[in-house]
Amino acid sequence: MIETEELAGGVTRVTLTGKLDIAGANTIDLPFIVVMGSKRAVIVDLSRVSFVASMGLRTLIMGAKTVASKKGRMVLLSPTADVEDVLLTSGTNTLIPVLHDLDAAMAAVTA
Amino acid sequence: LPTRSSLDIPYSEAALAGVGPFVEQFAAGAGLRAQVSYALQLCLEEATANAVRHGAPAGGGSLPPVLLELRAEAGRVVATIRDHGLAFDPLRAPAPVSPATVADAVPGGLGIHLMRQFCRDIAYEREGDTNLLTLSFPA
Repeated sequence: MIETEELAGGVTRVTLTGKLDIAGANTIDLPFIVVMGSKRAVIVDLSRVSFVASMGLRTLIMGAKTVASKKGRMVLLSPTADVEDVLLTSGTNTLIPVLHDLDAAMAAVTA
Repeated sequence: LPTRSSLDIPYSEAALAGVGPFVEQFAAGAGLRAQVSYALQLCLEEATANAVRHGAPAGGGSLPPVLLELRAEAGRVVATIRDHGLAFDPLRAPAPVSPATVADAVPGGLGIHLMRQFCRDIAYEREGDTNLLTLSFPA
């Protein structure tokens, strides 16, 4: 599931919920890319995502590329420990900043 | 407690989407820790996706389904993935290249790397026309 919320300063928080396995990534791919295509300062809240594998990473990286192509910024917020382990092991955190604090995330996407 | 389980995975995306739920159900039934369940789901989704998406020879043809077998033993869980697709040893796959920026990133290509990092042991054998991948995990 994907929910969007407009925060102060033109920042959008996109909250994903559930498993980003093959089935989950297939479900959110299109709506996620549509949102990313229309925003320039995006916080992707992963606190309700219980699982990410390579298909989910692909979704996140596609989104980040879309935002970056418009000179925008995207960060990942508050992944669970298991999900963060996958983000670090895959090196995704070197491409998309991973933060655990909303204020820091707001600052990172509006810098 | 169920300690053995198997799943036939035909060569389709719809069948691949069933792997995660199957593994999750096995892990819950075998009483595995959440971290082990996560690693199992991750590795087996990656391994079966590779077999189904890249294993069929050009031009198609009808291959028997990929067979995933799981068994919980004292102190470990062993998973085997058996398929009759093209010979492919994931242990010989090159490491993924780290892009400098997200603009340079090519989505995908991380599955084998993740699989190798999240299991305890991994072994590949080609037996006749069969790929046999064996992964083990701490229980």
